[in-house]
Amino acid sequence: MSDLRAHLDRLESAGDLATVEERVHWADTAAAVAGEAARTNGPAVRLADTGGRATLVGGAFGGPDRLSVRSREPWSRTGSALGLGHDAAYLDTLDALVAARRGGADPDPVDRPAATADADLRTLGLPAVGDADVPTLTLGVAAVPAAAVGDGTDGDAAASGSLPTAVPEDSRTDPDAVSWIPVRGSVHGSDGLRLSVPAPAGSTPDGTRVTVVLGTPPAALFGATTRWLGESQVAGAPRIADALGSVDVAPTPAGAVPAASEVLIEATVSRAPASTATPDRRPSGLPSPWESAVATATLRARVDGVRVRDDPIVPFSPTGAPMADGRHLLSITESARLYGRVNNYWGVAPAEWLALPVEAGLGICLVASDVLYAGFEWQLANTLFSFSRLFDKVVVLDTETPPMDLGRAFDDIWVKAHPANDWEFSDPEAPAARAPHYRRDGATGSNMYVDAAWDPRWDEEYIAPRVTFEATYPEEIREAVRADWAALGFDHGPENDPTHDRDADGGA
Amino acid sequence: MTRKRRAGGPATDGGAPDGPADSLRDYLGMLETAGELNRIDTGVSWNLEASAITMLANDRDDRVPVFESVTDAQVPARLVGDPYRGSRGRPWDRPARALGLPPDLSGEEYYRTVMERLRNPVAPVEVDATDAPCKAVIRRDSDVDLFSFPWPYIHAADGGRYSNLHTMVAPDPDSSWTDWSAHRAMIQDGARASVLLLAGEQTPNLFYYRYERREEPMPVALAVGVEPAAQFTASMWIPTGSDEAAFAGGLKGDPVELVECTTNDLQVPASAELVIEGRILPGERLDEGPFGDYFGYMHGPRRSMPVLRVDAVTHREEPLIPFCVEGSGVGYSLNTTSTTEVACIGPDATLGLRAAGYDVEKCVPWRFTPRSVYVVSTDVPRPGYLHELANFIFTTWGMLHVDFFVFVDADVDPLSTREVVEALALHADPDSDFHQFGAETMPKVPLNIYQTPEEKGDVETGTSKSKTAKAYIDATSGGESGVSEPAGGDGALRERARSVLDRAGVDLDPGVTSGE
Repeated sequence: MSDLRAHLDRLESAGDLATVEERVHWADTAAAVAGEAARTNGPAVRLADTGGRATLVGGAFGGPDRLSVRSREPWSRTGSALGLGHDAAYLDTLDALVAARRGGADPDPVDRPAATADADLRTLGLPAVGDADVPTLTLGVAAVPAAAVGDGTDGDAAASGSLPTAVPEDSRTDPDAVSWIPVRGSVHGSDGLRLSVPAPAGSTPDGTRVTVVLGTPPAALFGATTRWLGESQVAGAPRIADALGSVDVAPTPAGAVPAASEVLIEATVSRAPASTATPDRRPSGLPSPWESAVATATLRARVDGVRVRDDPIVPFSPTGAPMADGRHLLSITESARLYGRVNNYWGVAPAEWLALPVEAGLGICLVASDVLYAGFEWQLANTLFSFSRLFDKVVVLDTETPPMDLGRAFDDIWVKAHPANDWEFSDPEAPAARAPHYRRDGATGSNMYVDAAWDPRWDEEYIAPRVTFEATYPEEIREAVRADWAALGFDHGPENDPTHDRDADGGA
Repeated sequence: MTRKRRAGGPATDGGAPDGPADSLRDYLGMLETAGELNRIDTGVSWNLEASAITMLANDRDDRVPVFESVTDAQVPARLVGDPYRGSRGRPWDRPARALGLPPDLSGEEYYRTVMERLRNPVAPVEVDATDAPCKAVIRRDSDVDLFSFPWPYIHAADGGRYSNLHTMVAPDPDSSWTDWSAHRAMIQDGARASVLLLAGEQTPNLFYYRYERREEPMPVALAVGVEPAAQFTASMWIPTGSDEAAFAGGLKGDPVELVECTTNDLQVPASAELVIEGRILPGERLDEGPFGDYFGYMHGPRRSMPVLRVDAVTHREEPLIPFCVEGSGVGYSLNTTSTTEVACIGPDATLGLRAAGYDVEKCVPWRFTPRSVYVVSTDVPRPGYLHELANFIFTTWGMLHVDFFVFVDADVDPLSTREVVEALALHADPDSDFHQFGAETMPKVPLNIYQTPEEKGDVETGTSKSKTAKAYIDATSGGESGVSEPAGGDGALRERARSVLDRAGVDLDPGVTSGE
């Protein structure tokens, strides 16, 4: 089992976790410090003294941008979290997430969760994030009785109000009896929770028990996110999580929860508004990125009890900051989803790599692909538009662009694509994309793709070779220069070379 | 051949003087003092070896190489690979050092300082030939043999050996104006080179539309290894009629010393390591290229370009011949071209747009692509403003090389690629913010890879046969909510957060500005 603590230990060993010992209060400074670390491509930061009971960690699932060559990659912490290693290759990380969609074995049950100490939600020190003036929950997972989570349509079982409000005691570690959903929320008063949840969970009847867990094993967080990203042919979140890393589960009235979670908030759904003047108020703070990928609803609940592990640790995302955890989480899971789909659609796997770069706010999809035939670029781009509503811009690259080489990708977009012929726009009736900031009223508009791949109809002689060290110099010169590099008096080894891609050497 | 020893023209490199560098040697001395220079005494060949080492140094963001011992060179000379390449995170740091500025200036401070200097030209001073370092050795007539110098063979598929980091000095035949520019020269034989002259640029226009039409040769000088300020100025678009040497003086903050050529009356920077004097001949063409070009691809096929016939070569003892591994300054890597784009052309273009009445915040080349796309941060004070601005740029200095402009809000830093990428993704609506200018109607240099060889054609003036389009992208917010803002963060809180991280010893990216 790999819990959050093991993940943080690995980050620390890799030099990718720093500790801030001085007081940074959860109410006004903690999110700013984590946001600044994210913005400046810093390591994850452990905030040891926030005025609350919990230690906060920002950036546990974040990472630096890939707009320069760095010693760590944007996905390094994800790779580490999933047990693939801090130096995991990008494609290995995608492949692991794709494979996990089929699900693994049933999670092993344990008698009780690791969090056993009673706690008070208000004194935990959950950070106020994204302009909120109350404690907020990010990177949360909620367990809800599976029977209570419908498909969002009228007349489903949950909406009928005829269901038990808790999972029967003999099924409380059964992965089929529970739904794990991504959750973002805020704390109001002594026991009020406002939760943003995927829409089908929004119809959970009053009185239904729900357990919100914070500081879950990373596999559970990725599993819950993956489960809700618009696919029907995927396993339940507990089994996806178990495929990503063995996750023990413990019983709660709402069903099984990841046993190693740091904080368990047991609550009961209660739609009775705290104030009749604001009956539909959403959670405070900015939405998490996953909320732009799925339809959401607000769930209100009253806290029944809080249990924590000793010296609890709560990871959070400084939502709104560039390179924040939430963006990374959605970027890698959605990239994996689309990568898996386009490579299981035409009988062949044309996409060498695919990414919704965090750096672009998930508003652009890059795909490096074999261009199977003339017009395939159009087909590929429009397939991606039909698979995801996040973005309205696709860049089609040649497979010679190394995975996640954003430097090359954002060079080719300008120099390989003909400004008149290779920037293609659809008719203006496409639905509005959800990541961008325009047309938030849902007005239709155009999608566009940039064809930055060679035209398959071109003669071979038209194809300009790239200027790279490998392509430009004879092998004997390359070998001699590399072999003599230090003797020639240079300092920087191959780890500084942008062409030293980990995917090519298996993550070495 | 005459050979003279000069006072004030040491063959050995100096240390790191205060203030701007007066010569390439001074500048390299500054780099050496800062630990950013690598003098390689091992014998290295001009034939791909020097450039291979330089490309790997560029790729690895390593120290600048000086090849002290070049094999197979008849004249003792040294090569310098991409001397002005900036560091990855802060491309302007070495140009700043060359200009006597602190290398740790923020991008904002650097742009502001350079623009201020360009606003205050300093007239050059003329020195006597006996005081000019570049005339330590004078070779004329039969003493001239270009191949006696170790011009590098840069890419394995190049059409020949090149001088590609020099300042070309050429006069307007109808006025006293002299243009400084940068046009690569492919060495053809002992006394001839073919020069890439693309119509639409200033010096090529002088040749094609004045000298050649009158069937007159154009006197030129290729000043190789000039002082940094002169090198930087040659890459800028200085208005026709302006004294380029004065702009170089302004940039430097001190007058540039000029000396008259030996075989014509052109004046060149006296600090040059080597000067090729000659004439570009009307009606004559020789092959030029293929060549690994600035946009990161081999560009070909060979084209016919005007011919430079050499009358004299003057040089320092053991001259330093700088070169650029063109094409290696794309993506994550930098070279001299991509560095001078950011550090010189950006401030110059910003100043030019302001001078034209556009109150832009900054104009900065796209980080990963020299010359093809620029980012302009600006307010949008009235409807139609961006169209007007794009139209102005595309019809003036941006006409031939630049295909795209991206406009972002004034508070988005164009030096921050992340901010620009995010603005492009989240604010540029495909429905309304992508604007094409003149599909298939606008001129384009043939240095591109998106046209077929047939489309590029082989017309005499060096423009493409097939026209192309230009586009601008409106990535301003237009009232939409802004791009990412650090959580909970107003400026003061962010500063406080940064201080907390500093005190905790957290390693933050120095390339990300605090004012982002």
